[in-house]
Amino acid sequence: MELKEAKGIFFIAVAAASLLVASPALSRIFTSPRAEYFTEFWLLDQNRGTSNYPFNISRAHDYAVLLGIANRLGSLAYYMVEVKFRNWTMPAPDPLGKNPSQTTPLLDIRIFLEDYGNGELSITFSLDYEIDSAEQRASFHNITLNGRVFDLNDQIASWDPIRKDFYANLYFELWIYNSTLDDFEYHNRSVGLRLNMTDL
Amino acid sequence: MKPGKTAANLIATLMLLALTAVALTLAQTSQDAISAVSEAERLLAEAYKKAADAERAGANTTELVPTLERAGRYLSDAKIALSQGLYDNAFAFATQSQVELTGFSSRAESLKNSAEQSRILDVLVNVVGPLLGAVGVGVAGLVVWGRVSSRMNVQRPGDGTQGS
Repeated sequence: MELKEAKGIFFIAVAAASLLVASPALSRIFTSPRAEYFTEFWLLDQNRGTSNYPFNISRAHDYAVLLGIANRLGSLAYYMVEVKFRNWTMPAPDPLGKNPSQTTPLLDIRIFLEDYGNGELSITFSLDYEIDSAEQRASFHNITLNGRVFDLNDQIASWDPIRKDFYANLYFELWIYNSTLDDFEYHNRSVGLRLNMTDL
Repeated sequence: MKPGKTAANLIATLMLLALTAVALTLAQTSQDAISAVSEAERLLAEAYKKAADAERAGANTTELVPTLERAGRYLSDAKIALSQGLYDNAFAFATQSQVELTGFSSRAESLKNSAEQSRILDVLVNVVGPLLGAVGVGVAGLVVWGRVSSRMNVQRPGDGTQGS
């Protein structure tokens, strides 16, 4: 074997050995950075599906849904879910999800999730209401959320002739704590249920 | 002054005093509850920031999260009670939330410190070590090749190819 040929083979072997030894460091240096940071927010029916959401609501009957959050923000997150109830005359959530509605929340739920952590909350609710057939309106006395009763101050839902229901909306808005602002800010996500009162 | 009128005045004064005392007590209770809730809110936010700092330093915060969750639940309960005018309950829940967070900062701080130490060790073992090792292998290769080639050069003149 020629000296020049031997030299080539030797230095290829040395380079390969160097790369092998450096591989733990190289794997750190050349790891592609994470490109997407986001939060998932979802609402499922009690069977973890999307085909059986509560819609026709009987008085004082319990209904359940599952509210889920997944943190893909790259760090521990402090979320707050505001639970709100509205009839059709009250301000609706922004359809583009940029702004929260101005309705006062009934309660807030605080959730802490690590990166890649998922949380699922079971929400059970029932409504106490009365329908005045003559006036064609439903008045809501209170709502029970996970065993706690909240006064709805006899809010009124008038008969909606287009949708043909006494329309009400139970919805959930997601907020996130911003350490820089030292406050919660709306996280541009909301999910909700349209409800129809059926008991005359 | 007639005795009947004096008695009526006295009763009215006593009732006024009693009402004032009740109003002051209620105001005090509601004020205490509001302060306790806002303090609980502040402490929870501080605790979250400590946990987030520890996580940024590379600590595993799994053991801290359940404490934050519990404190958060008590705080939510306190806010519900406050909104319903149940000031004693609001105060109790807010206090419970604060109690949950006792010692949290030092736990988070200690996790952060040990994570920082581990990170230094990790960088030494997994980054600096391999890079120095790779340089070492390269240098060793050069040295070995230098010696081998010089030996081969020394051997060449004596390999039996003398001229006549």
